[in-house]
Amino acid sequence: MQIFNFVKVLFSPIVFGLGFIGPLSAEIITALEIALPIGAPLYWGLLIGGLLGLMAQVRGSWIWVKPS
Amino acid sequence: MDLGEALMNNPAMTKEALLALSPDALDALERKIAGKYMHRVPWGAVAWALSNLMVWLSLWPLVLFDYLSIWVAFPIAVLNVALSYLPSHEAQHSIIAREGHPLRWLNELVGHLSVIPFAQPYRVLKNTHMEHHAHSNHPELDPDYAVHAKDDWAFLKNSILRRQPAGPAQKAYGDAMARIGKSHMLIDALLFNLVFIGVLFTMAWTGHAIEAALLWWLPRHIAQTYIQYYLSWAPHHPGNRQERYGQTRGFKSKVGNLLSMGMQYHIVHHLYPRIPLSSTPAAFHELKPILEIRGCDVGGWAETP
Repeated sequence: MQIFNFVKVLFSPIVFGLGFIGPLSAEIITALEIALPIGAPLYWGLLIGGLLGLMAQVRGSWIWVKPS
Repeated sequence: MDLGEALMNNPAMTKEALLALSPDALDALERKIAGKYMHRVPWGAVAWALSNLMVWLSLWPLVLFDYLSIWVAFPIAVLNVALSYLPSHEAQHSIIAREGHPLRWLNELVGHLSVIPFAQPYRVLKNTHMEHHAHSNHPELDPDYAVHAKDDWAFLKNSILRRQPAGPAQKAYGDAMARIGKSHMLIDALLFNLVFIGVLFTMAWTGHAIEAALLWWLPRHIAQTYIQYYLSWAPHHPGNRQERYGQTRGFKSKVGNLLSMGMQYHIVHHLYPRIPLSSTPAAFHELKPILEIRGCDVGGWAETP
C-alpha cells in the first residue's frame, strides 16, 4: 500500500509540474530573454510549474477544462 | 464444378456472379483471396522498426553535443514517435512470426523495441488491442471505444481531454487488463512511465528541459493524437456497428495512404489481422466486390473499379 501511495505521488500532476514543467519554463524564460522584475528564472519556472501542477491536481486537468 | 469452384480457379468477380454464389462458396472465395496475402514475413516492417528506433535514439546525442539543431531534430522526433507504433502492431498480431516459428524471437523483439519512443509497453498494447479486436465498438468492452467522436474537431477535443489527469485514457486499458486477468502486466506500464518521467526530470534538472520536451514529451503528445486519429477514430467512425463486416470502414484520405498510415484499408485488417499492413491495399481492392456484398462501408472506394 505504501508503494502504491508512493507511485501515486510520483505520477501526480504537482510532481510533474515541479519536476519538469518548472525547469522547462525556466529554460524558456531564459531562451526568450524575458526580463524578470525579481528573482532567477528557475524560481519563476517553479512558480509556473507548481501552480499549473496544483491546478491539474485539483481540477484534474492541465488546461482548466475538465474531462467529462 | 460449381460456380464457386469456377470463380476460385478464375476469379473474374462481377457482382452478379458473386451474388449467385452460395454463402459457403462466397466464404471460401473470400478466405482464398485473403490467404494469398498472408504468411509473408514483412521485412519492411522489421527494418522500419529498427531504423526508426535508431534514428530517434541518435537524435539525443546529436542534439546534446550540438551536432544537430533541436529545431531540426524536433520534427524528426515527431515523425519517429508517430512511426513507432505500427511495426509493434504487426508484432502484436504475430504477423512477423507466429508462436513456434523460428523467427518468433524477431516478432517479439520488434514488438518490444519499436514502441520505446512511444513510451508504451508491448504486452499491454498487445492485450488491449486483442480486446479491441474481440469487442470492436462495444461501449464497455472495447478499450478504444472512448476515441469515438462525432467529427474531426470533436475527436481532437476529446483526445486532449481524455489524457488529462482526471481523464479516462489510462483507466480503459487498466480495466481491460483486469477483465482478462492480466493486471500483473501493468507493471510494464509502470516501468515505462518511470523511465519516461525519469528521463524528463533528469534532463530538465541538468539544463536540458527544452531538448527533453522537443525530443520526447511533445512528440509523444502529437504522435498520440495522430495515431489515435488514423488508427482508431477514422477507420471506426461512426463506431455504431459491432458485427464482423461493420466494425470498420474504408475511407479515402485527403493526405494519401502513407500519411494516413495505411488505415484507409483497415477493414481488411479487422477481417484478416494476419495480413501485413503493406499488403492490405492490394487485398482490399481484390476483396472489395465481396466486401460490398457483405454490407461493408467502403467509403470513397465504392466509386473505384
